This record gives sequence, C-alpha cells and structure tokens, in this order.
Amino acid sequence: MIKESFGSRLFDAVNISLLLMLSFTMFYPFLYCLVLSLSSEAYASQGGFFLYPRSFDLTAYKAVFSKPHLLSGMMNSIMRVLISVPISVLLTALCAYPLSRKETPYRKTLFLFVLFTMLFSGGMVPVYLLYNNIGLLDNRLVYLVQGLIAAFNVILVRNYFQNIPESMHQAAMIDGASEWYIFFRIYLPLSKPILVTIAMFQTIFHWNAWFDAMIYMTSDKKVVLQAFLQRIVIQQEWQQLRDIYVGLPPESIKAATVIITVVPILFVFPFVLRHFSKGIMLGGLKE
Amino acid sequence: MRSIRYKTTIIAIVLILFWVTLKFPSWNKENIESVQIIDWSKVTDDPNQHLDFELIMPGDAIDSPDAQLKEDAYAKRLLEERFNVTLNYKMVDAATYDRKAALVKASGFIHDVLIEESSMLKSSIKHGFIVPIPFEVICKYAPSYARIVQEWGSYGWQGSIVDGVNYGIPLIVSDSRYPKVGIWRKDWLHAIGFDRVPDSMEEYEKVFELFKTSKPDAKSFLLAFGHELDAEQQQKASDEANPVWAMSGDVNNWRAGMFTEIFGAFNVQPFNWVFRDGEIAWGGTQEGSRKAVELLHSWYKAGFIHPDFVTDEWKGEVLSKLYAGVTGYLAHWSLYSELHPQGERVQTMGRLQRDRDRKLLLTLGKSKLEADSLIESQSQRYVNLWSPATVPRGPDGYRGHRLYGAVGGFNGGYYAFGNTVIEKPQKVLRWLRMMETIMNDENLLINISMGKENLHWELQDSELGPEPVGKEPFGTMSYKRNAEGLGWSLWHQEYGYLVQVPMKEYTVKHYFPPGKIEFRKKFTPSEWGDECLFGDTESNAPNNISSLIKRMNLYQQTKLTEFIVGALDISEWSNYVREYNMLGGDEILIGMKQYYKETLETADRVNSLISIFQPKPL
Amino acid sequence: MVQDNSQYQNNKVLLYMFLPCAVYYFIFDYIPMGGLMIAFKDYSIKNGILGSPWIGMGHFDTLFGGSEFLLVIRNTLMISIIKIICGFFAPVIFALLLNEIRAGFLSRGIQSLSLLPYLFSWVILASIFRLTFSNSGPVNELLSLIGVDKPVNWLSDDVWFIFVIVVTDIWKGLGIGAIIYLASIASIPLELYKAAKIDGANRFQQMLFITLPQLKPTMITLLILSMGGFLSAGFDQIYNMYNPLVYDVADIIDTYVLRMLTDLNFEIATAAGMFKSVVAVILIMISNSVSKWLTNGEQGLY
Repeated sequence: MIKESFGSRLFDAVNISLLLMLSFTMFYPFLYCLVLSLSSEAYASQGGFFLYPRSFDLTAYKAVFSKPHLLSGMMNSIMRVLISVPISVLLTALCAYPLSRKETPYRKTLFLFVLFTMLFSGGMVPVYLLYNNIGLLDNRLVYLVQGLIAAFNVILVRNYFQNIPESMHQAAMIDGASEWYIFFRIYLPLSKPILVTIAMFQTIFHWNAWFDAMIYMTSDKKVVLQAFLQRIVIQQEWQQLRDIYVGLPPESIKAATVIITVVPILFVFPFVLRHFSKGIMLGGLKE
Repeated sequence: MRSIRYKTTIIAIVLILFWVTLKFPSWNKENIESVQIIDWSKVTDDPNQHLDFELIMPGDAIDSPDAQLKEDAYAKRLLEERFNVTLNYKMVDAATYDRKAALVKASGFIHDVLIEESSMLKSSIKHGFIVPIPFEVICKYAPSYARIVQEWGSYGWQGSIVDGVNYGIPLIVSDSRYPKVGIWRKDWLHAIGFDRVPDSMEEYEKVFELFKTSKPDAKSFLLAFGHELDAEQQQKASDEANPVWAMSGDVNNWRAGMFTEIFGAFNVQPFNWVFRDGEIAWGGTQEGSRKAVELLHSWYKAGFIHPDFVTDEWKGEVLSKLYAGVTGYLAHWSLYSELHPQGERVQTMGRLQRDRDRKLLLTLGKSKLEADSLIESQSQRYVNLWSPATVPRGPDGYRGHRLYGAVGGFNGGYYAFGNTVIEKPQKVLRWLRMMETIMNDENLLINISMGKENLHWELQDSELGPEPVGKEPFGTMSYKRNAEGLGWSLWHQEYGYLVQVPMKEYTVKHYFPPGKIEFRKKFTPSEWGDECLFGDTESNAPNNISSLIKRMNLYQQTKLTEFIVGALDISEWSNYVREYNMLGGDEILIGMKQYYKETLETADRVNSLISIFQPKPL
Repeated sequence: MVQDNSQYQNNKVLLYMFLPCAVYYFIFDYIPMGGLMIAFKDYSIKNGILGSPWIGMGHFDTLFGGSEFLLVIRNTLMISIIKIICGFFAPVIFALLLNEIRAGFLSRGIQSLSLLPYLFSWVILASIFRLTFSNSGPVNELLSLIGVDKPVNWLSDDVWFIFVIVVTDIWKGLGIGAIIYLASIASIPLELYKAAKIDGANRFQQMLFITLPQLKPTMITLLILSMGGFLSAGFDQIYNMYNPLVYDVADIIDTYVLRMLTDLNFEIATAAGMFKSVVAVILIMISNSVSKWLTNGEQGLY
C-alpha cells in the first residue's frame, strides 16, 4: 500500500463532504415539495425548513386530481412520447446513415444542409404561420413534428456509424446486400447504445416540452402535462378552488401538482442512468 | 467547375420550391381593401330570419367541468327562443383571455361576436379580423344602452376608435362604479379593545400596532376558551402564539388596487389620471403618492406589512394568510356576496378557525371529547369572524378607493364583430337589438342573470329583509349556475352574463337584497370611489403609446415596491419622479392630453346622436 | 463498367434514404426561413405574406430606436456572459473531483443523484424554486438559523434573481456535463498516470497536467456549441422563474419575442428573432475560426 500524504487524505475528506452536500441539494428541493404537498394548512403557511412531513394529508392531491385536464394532459404526454420517440430515432438514423457513407454523392453539401438548420432558423413567427397553413395548429400531430430529426442527434449517430468497422459493410456488399438491408439488418442492431441514448434525449425533450402546447394548441384538452403544470403553478391560471377545497393553502396545491408531474420521470430514472454514460462516450464528442 | 455547377443547381431547385410554396393560400392573398365598408343603410334585420352566432368571451370558472356551459343552458335557450338565434359560445379563462383569444384569431377562426380589450382591438383591426361599426348604427339600434355608456363612462367610446373609425361597443360593468370592501378580523379587533371598525388613518395605525404587539390571535382564543383553561395552559397559549402581521399584498395587483385606500386617503391614486387645475395629471407622480409611500414604508419597517407581499398572489397566498390567522386585515377585497354570513368565504373562515382552535385545545392538553364540546359551546364565534372595512379617512379628511372604470375598462372591454359578419351584416343589428331589448325588459334580464324564480332562486325572509337566495343545487354561488348561463354569483349579477347589459337602478333595488343596498351605502358608496378619467389607461389607451404606458406602469409598480421595502430611500422621490418623466412620463402626458381632447369630442358626438334616435329615455 | 453502375445504383439509394429527412428539413426548417420577409413588410393576416407591402428596414429602426429592445439585448448578453463565465468550468471541476473519489459506489451514487435535475423541465424546477426561495421557504429559514435576520428576496430583487438564475442553471447542468467529461477521462490510458507518479507528480499535478488537457477538445466543442445558444440565455428557465418585479434585468430577447407574438405584432417578433439567428450564426463561425486558429487547425466544430 502506498502511503498517502496527509494533504491527500484531507483533500479526500473535504472533497467527499463537499460532493455529498452537493448531492443533498440535488434532491432536497424535491423532498421539500413532497413534504409541502402532504401538509395540512397551518404548517404550509408557516413555511420553514422541513426534512420530513409533519402530517400526512392527501387533500392537496385530491384537489389537483379534481382539476380537469390533468388526466388528459398525462395521456397526451404519454402518447406523445410513445409515438414521437421511435419515429424520431428511426428517421434520425436513416438520415445519419447516408451522411456516414463516404460514397454518398454530395455528402458534404448534405451535411451542411443538416448542420445549417442547427445554426439558423426562421424563428417563432414563420413557423407558426407555416403550421397554420398545413393545419397543424390545434392538432396533436404538431407534437410529432417538434424536433423530429434534430441535427445534434444526427451528428451523434453519424459518428457512431463511422466507427463501425468498414469490413462489415464490405462483407455484406460482397454478399449482394442492398444499402437498405445493410442499414436495417446490420447497422441498426449494432447501434443500440447510441440509439438508446438518442431515445433518451428525445424522451426527455418530449416529456418536458410545454411551450409548443402553449402556443400551438387552443383546445385545453390537447395540452401536455407540463403545459398544464405551467398554467397552474407559474401562470397561476387557476381560479380559486371552490367547494370543499377552499381554504387549502396554495403552496400545497402547487407542490402536489409538481410531485404528480415528477413521479413518472422517477420511474424512468434508473433506466436513464444505465444507458447515458455509455451512449455519450460511444457517440463520441471527441472527434 | 463541378462544385460551381451543382451549387447553382441546388440554388435553382431551392428557389423553384420556394416559389411553389409561396403559393400557399395564406401566404399569397389579394390585397384586401384596408377598411371593409358595409353599407349600413342597405342592411335590414328580419326577425323571422334565423341567425347563427359564434361568440367568444371570458368566462367564469372555466377550469371546472361542472361549470361548462350546457348545450341547453337555461339562459341560452331563453335567448335563442326569444330572438330566433343559435348561440355558440367559446368561453375562455379570463386570466389568459388576451393571449388565447389572440392565438385563436391568428389561427384563422374568427367569431361573429368577440369581447376585446382596447389593445386587442387595435391588433385585430390591423390584421383585418373585425369590422367597423359606426356610432350611428349603435345609437339607432341600442339607444338606451348608449345612454348608459354616456352616463357612466363617456370616455369609453374613444377606446375603440382607430383612425377616426369606430370598431366596438364598450361593455358596461355595473359594480365597477363602487369601491370594493376590505375585511377586518372582527374577533381580533374585539380582543384588542376595539368595538367598531377603525375609520381614520390614525386608528388604522393604532390597530396595526396593537396587532403587532398584543397577540390578538391568542387573545381572541383566550377570550373564547380561557375560562376553561388553567393559568398554565393560558400562559402556554399566549407564549406559543405565532407572529401576526396586519396585512399582506400582491405587487402584481398594484394597478388594480393594492394599498389603494391608503393612497386614496391622501387624495391620490397612483395609477389614475385626474383633472387638476384645468389640466390632466398622473396620480403616481403627485405629492400625495409620496406621502402615502412614505407611510407604507414606515408600516413595512414596523412589521405591519408582511414581507411576502412582494411575491404573494392576491387570490392565493394573500387570502390564505387571512384564513390562517397570519394577517388580520385585507383591503380592497370584494363585494357584499363575499362578506355575507352565508357566503362561502365567511363559512370557510369559520371552518378553518374551528380546526385551528381544536388543534390548539388538543395541544394544551384537552381530550378530544372536551375539545369538541368546547368548540360546540362557542359555536357563535365561528358564524362570522369578519367585519367589512370602510374606506379610511386621511389626515386631511379625504377618502378614496380606486374604481376599475365601469365602461370599457379593466374588467370589461368591447364587443367587436368579426369579419365573418360581412356576409350577414344583419347579425350586428340583431345583436344590438338583443342588447337593447334585454336592457328594457326587466323580466327577461332577471331571467338571464339571476335565473328563474323558484327554480334557480327564491325570495326568503332573512333578518336583512326579503332577499333572493339561491335554490339548491344552484346555490348562491355555484358552478351549476354557470352551466345554465347565469354567471357564477347570484348576488353579484347586476348584468347579464351571456349578453352583457346592465340592470337599471330600480331593478337592482327591487331584486337585490336590501342588505346589499344598505351595505353599499355604508361601506362602499360610489362617492368614496376614485375614478380614472379614462377608466383604466392600460385598457383604454391611444394606440401609439399603449405599450409605453404598459412599460411605465410596470416601472412605477417596481419602484413603488422598492420604496416601500426600503430598497430605495424615500428621499430619492424627486429623483424618481424625474426619471419617470424622462423615461416616458412626459411622452405619455402629451399623448394623453391629445387623447383627452378627442375623448371629449367623441362623447359630444355620441350625445347628439342619442338625442336624434331617442329624444327621451325610456 | 458493371461495377461502376451498381456502385452508382447503390449511391442513388443512399440519396433516397436521405430523402425523407430532406423533405422534413425543407418544409419545417427552410421554408420558415423564407417567412423572414415579414420582418421587412407591413404584415397583416388579411393580406398574407406576399400581399403585404414592403417597408424595408422600418421595423429594425423601431427595434433599435426604442429603448426596450436595447434593454432586452443588454439583459440577454449580461445573463449569457455571466452564465458562461461562472458555469463553464463547473462541470469540469465537478467531473475532476468526482474522478478523485476512489470508493466506486460513492462516486456512482453522487453521479446518479447529480443527473436528477437534468431530467426535469424548467417548469417543474421553477415551481420548486419558487417554493424553496420564497420568503418563508427553507433557504431563508436556513439563513435565519445562521443569523441573517431579514429574509432575502431571492426572486424579486434584481441582483439576487440573476444570482439564482445562474446558480440553478449550473446546478441543473452539472450532472449531464460531468458525464460527458467523465467519458473523456475514462479513455485516458492508465500508463500516463503511472509514468507521472514515477516522475514524482502528486495528485494535483496529475489532475492538472494529464486529466485536464485530455478534456480540452471536449471543452472547446461544448463552448462553441453553446455559442449557438448565446442569445437564448435560457428562455425556458427565465420565462418560468421571472415576474414583473425583475423585468428590467430578466426580460430577454425570447421573452420579448413571445410578448410581441401574443400581441400579434408579428413583424417585430420576426425581426427580433432574425436578429438573434444572424448573430448566433456569426458567433459560431467566429468562435470556430478562433478555436481553429488557436489550436493550429486541429480543433473545431466543422
């Protein structure tokens, strides 16, 4: 065992405690919200630093669930993710494949074509007017269109494809396979890590998107969960709850809404952990 | 070589594709005449012709499924049968009405009848969404309505005029002619030795001081239950009492009326235009504002104003602090209906206080049975813990409370007609006739605002005299009333909900609780109200400076808050006024002077039109 | 010859594969660029884009002539610069420190927790922060325990608001940033460290001279990429956390554009958005060239 200097051990101790404190701040805000959402009125109005709930009162949750559009918001969000993400991943890979092959004609131009969209855009207004023309306003299909083939993702996948040994491609060509076959039967299966990473990025993007629902939807029932949350907590668009929920402190209601929106993500969290680091490393930001 | 060739082909392909897509219908239109002129002299409205209306307006209680307007809603059916129409309403949440309505219009759906605030009107005109409607037409088909607008807010006509052409009918919100009423914790006042509500500013300060120092919450509890507690328990109840403040606030509500009665006591309203010395002047930069702000700052320092007032929300935390016994005074809150002992909020206060008292009794060592029976024995305590406030008298004898502006203004807006009526302009005439008829038919108006007697409401004898009381399941305030198109509150509806026309004074006196009339005389007479010359300048402003006005209002709001919390010292006031004027105040003043002139001219014009079409009021 | 033909056939197939993507980009990204004309016209919906009359640079005059847009630009720049200066090194340092922890479960645990904020939208985080930074919330409560008696107006004071914005933004990005850097660190051959130890280098020197230089390429790439978002200054975060009291420092280009859009003032919104895009492109090109020049042509985005 190599003897460690005192300085080194001290550094370790300080380092670990600092990082532990930091991790505490990572999850304390959520804990605070959980505690707040379970509080009865007297405590919530007093505020303070809570480490554990002082009462276990589900009224705030009942109040939130009694609001219309919470459940429809959840459905919209789930459908949005389930439909958009697979299509997006497939199309991204389909776009990246030709860009990764040296023999694609006009390859550099095509790449610039894609890259340019990442740098320059028409802005909110022309996009809005375009959607208006195509009939995507107040239409759930607009969710599919958002970020469908993101240039950033295309670059990641392209890099990954380029790292796949050329020998595989050549062997398949000699066997008489078409590019389509090579793409679907060889490259895609080999690219699972990066594809999962892209799927992760897209899932998080779609689940967290609220702005598009706010601008493009005029029917409340087509709005996604995050937009619903945004209206309740940030814009305070809620009328005073009447009947049995009058008197509930607004902090509890806001906290309960947050917790309800947060829970589905926590289910996905372990899955994310497993795949993220692998994917980014392989997709390679070190060109 | 090769690279130049394919670069050019690519550019050529792109250009061709652009040209093709630019043929999209809404990208390529024929240039429409900037103002679509309807020849009103050729338009007639045959009552036997059935007309379909699409309408959009801000609605009550949008977020509750129980409150959605039913297909066969009572008020809607009545109107449809009586006037041979079909009415399709799109109700939008009032809080985000401007944004949502704007997006609905931009997405191509234009309703026949729209409610628009003045600034929305201006943008609708620019994009061609709405059509002009001359004053002659309004006064010819709805002279009684026009007359009320003249009486209650002739400034309102100007807000819908752009380039000399009128595009809207100002809406009337009857109860905006009266101040709102504040709330005191009656039991706290009693506990500190006040048997009536404080009326002068000195009394206010004295009461606030006592709230801060003498634990009124604990005292009130002890007054009710002290006789059943031993000395140690009493001491404990007093020692462990939570700190209280006099009041909180909502800085985003500044313009609507935060601290309005304080400013009014110095004869000024920070967000009003007034007529002084023959000139119009802005309240926010007057000396009275400085005095009020100085006083508020001293109150903040003394701990009377809760520090959360910077972030609290009016209908959220501010109210819940009153419910929770954290504050004891709430200004500028609401109306008679909110303070009625049978009103929902008063009952909630009672219920919550009951819970708090019970918890405290348990903490002090009483058993559940004991606590419950004690609470029962004191049930009188929870009937009404609130007292309405007056508008306080200032050191020079002034009382004042900002009024929203009964016409056009803050809560209202304008009726406008979408370009869809060009094909059937008789819709406009029909709508005007509807407004005029309903206004003059008391029975119809009662039915579409209060509802049907004995079905939605009934007259009951109460200690305040016979009053209409909501019949279950409709209640006095309920979603079900909303679903029937009657508006949310029985006691509140001095105007129609689905067709917004005001009730005449004698109808109000006849049908509304005498208690309400008394209440209004005693606590919220219109003489105590400070009306802005223009109703509300953010809602009723000339086009070219309306965004500057919005910005300067925000600026003022921020600065006033900074003065109160002490971030800015009050000695900087004159610098602040100079900054304000330089940043935009001077420009606004010039614009508003001109606007005022135009407002007076328009009012005159309408006056003569009314006397042409209706020489004598009905 | 036959080989050539089938090669060409294969190559055409590749183009067909790209086609759906091309169509998507064309319709949803390139056509809207044409809509930028609105910024030079007196646009009204009734006239459509082509039917509206041209007015040249009029809208840009309004934008840059009034004080509102200039204030908005100032705020955007200020917030972006502060964010970059304060936030650029944070994930790097975090990754380096994390790398120094030898107990695997500890470092993995901390890393996992640090990823948590990344998963949540700013709507959620802003809601949570509004509650935690409120006057009676836990942060002020903690401060009062330490002895600070007056609660700090974190979200309604100009200076503190910027502070909260920057800190929470760094907080949110720590986890995901660290992963990217840790991936690079993981690929450093261990022999380098062994050699350094033999030469007598202590941990800090190893960190500075071996680990850090490995991260340089990634750092530069991320820096250049962030230039693209320079003028966005985190709209999502700011829109959800700001309130009227801090408008004069928190109003950024995107919130301004949103206001213009909801007022149906399309021309100004487009002009402002166009300004933003153009500057973003210029910034990326400049930073790319600078980085190429500084690293002798090796490191750049493209």
